[in-house]
Amino acid sequence: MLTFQDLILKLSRYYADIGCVIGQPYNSEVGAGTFNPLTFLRSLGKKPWKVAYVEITRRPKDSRYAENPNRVQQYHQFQVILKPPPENPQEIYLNSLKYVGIDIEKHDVRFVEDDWESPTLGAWGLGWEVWLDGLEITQFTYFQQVGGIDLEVVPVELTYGLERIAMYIQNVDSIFDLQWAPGVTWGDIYRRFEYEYSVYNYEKSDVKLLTELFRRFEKDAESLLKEGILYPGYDFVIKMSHIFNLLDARGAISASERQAYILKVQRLASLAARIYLEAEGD
Amino acid sequence: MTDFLLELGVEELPPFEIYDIAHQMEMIFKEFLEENRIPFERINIYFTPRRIAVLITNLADTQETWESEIVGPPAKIAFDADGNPTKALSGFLESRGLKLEDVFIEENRKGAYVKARMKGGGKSSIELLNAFLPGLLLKLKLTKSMRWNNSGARFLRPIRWVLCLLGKEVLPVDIGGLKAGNTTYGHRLKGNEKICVPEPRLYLKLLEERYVVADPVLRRETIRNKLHGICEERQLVWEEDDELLSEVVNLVEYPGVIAGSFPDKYLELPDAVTITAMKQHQRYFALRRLNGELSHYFITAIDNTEDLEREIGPNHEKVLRARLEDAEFYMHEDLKVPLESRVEELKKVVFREGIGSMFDKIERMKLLCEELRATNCNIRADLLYKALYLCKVDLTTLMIKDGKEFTKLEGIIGMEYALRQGKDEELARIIYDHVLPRFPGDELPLTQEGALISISDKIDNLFAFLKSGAQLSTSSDPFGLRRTLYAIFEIVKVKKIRFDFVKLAKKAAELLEVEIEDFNEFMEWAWKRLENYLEEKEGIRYDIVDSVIGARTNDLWEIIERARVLHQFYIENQKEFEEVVVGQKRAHNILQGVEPQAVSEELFEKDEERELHRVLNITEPMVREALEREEYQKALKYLRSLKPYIDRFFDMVFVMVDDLKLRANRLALLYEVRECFRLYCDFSKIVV
Repeated sequence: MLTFQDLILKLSRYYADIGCVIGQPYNSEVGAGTFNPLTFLRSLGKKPWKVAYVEITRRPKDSRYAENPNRVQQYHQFQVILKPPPENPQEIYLNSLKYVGIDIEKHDVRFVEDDWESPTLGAWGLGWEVWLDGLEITQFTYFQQVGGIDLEVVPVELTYGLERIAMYIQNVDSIFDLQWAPGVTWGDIYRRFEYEYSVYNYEKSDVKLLTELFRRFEKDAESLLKEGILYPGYDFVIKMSHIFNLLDARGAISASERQAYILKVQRLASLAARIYLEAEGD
Repeated sequence: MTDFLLELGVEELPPFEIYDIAHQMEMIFKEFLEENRIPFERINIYFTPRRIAVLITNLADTQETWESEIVGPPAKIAFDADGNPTKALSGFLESRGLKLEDVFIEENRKGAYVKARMKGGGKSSIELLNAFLPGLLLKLKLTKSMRWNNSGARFLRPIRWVLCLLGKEVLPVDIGGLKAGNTTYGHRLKGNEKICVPEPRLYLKLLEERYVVADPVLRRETIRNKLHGICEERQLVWEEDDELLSEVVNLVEYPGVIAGSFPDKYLELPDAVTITAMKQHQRYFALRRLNGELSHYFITAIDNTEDLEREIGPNHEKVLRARLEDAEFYMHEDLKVPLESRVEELKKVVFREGIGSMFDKIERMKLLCEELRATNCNIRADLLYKALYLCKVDLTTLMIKDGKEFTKLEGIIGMEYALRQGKDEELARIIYDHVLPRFPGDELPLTQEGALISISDKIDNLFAFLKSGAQLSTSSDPFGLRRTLYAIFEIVKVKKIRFDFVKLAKKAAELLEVEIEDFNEFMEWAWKRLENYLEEKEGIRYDIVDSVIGARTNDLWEIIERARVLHQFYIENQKEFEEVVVGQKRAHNILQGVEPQAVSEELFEKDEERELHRVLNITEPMVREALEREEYQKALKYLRSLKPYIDRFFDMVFVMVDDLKLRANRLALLYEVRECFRLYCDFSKIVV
């Protein structure tokens, strides 16, 4: 049985072998591996960059009090960036599935059009969601724009949904039943975490505090970025995005305010992107 | 003669856009061959998600040859006094690569000119193809395109290989930074090795051996037949869904088809939810039992062989189960809250920025419905107002707020939850009715109350868009304003909803404080759209509609009916129709600037005057009465009966006589005639 940790180790080995830097998750709450500076910033400019890492991904709106077998508010992505894109990215991807033991010849693997977009990051790209017997296991994107900047060198982003792939390999019906390590399940580690964060995200988060934090982080992000202090400034942009997600899950943002919040994050993310490019000098 | 084959090997293309690209390719090749006069038998286009191929059979080796005459400078400036060529002539010769002995002088309409006969064509097809193919991608119109290498080429997705053969010969052209060869690839999972294609005619067969059905028509038929086969076997029915089938055809290279099922308990979800879960994201075909109930079976196309059904099927089932589980969670949570207590929440749901909440919108819709109720009978007021407050509450449910596939079920969820909370069936239906029609060709409201709410909702939407700065006269209609207005026309026409359109629009505009200029612009736009609408949907000439608009009534239903009947007259008797129109136009021209005045019988000189006046006095009240009873055909018949009298009047009576008293009296009579016709419409606006 391939455990959850084996899956991570194997994918890391696979991408290390094709020349990727094996990175680490970011130490701030993010909604996707794309927020990690290893992707967001390094996708910019012409410098070649190959990286792979696990990202711990927070989606407050997917809170289900540990009751839904398929949906949790925190899960794991395996994120890969290949820049410039190789000539055979689909083959590299499919071989990684074989490498972790999926007999793709005997299954229904498809690349189904799904153009990806992250309004908060001012980013979009063309690509697919990859289906394994109807299950969406990976988002496969050729970035066209990041931080509002058109990319001259187009990176390929692969985002694996690790829990889904593991459930498939282990043939279990619930995330919580996944074998993380021999004798230890996913649920052992995260069940209480899921329940309590569902309570927090839906019922207990302090809207007033969060709204205030958003405002102050925005101010800080802006003044830091304007001084050219990139990483701390960008960190506050990431925090803004997470707070927006928390407020959204709490139902505290109306449809009209929503757009305004997104634009605030987008503007500063774009500023960070420009500052990064200036400093990199390309 | 030989065959030509071009295949672009690509990473999976978007399923609907493949059709468009394939069509464009066909047109581009056709134009190329015709323009260059290269004879050929047939252009075949094949495609799958991973390839687009053009196979031209029996292509000629060379283009045709032709002769054409070209004209140079006038003879008088071509030669100098000594008969030697001037600069004008030598320049002409040089530019065309001609020698002096090639040209001759010939007269045309403008005088004597230097001319030459040039031979064209005769180039080899290879040469022409080699020049044409590298620019192929640039000729395509792409909605969303990308770069993937540093060649600068753009396409929908990366191109990974190019195969190009003329007979057995490779044309090593460069397309998208790739050099063409004679190899392709089989099915990604079942036969992804390089395949050498020795000649174009073997293309389909070689691919089929590697599990690729490159002919989309064949894939489509295969999937369809298998679908119906499974249905027959299990006593199920598949309602043909062309859109979904067209999409699925381009999601597979090999058309495997398998069936699956889900636990019965999910059948308790509203059908629309279950079907959406299957269709929207998973692209599964939903099936019904013979009695029409939704079944717990579904069918899906897989891009692999059916012998793997046991490996693949259960996984598809699991995915669907997870989606249905989500829907069940939403419904379970949603039903804990009575719909009525969600009304308050609508105050927090923003309708449109700067225009207030959904609740505010409902208050406006209520006032519009009151207006509509005054001119329509058989409206159950209690149901109308109950439904009005409940029709938007589904916006506050988790199911609709999901933001993904279920969000599109607005209205349906309102109805289904109402039924599940024990509400009156009629009330539930009105809630659903109010969103109809959602797209052209969609079903229409079943209830009159639903029709009223739908109209009030839509007209409020129109002015809300205007208020937030939407432009009316753009051809692309990004906000769906034209579609919304058409929906109103459709409801009025079919449900016979009666109201003064101008009055209702004015009210809607006032409620949103829309500027008067914007309102005027709206009305002008709306009437024009009515002309377009009736021309598109009923084939009624725009000028016939135009003649009816504003003539007597602002009631949309009545305008549509009058236009229909008038159009019928035009279709049945074009000659008479035109004569009537010409007569009215003539009257209209004579009456320019004439003020109404009483007709005096003593001033009649001729019988034709007397006759016309007599008949008019009898007919006019009959026309009035017929129109009041909405018997438009009858009204028109009475008007037509006046024609011989009018014709005779024009034939025998000279209106513009010198005697001013006589002239005024004849004009007054003509005025009455015209006013009588105008009871129906303004005939002078019709074009003949």
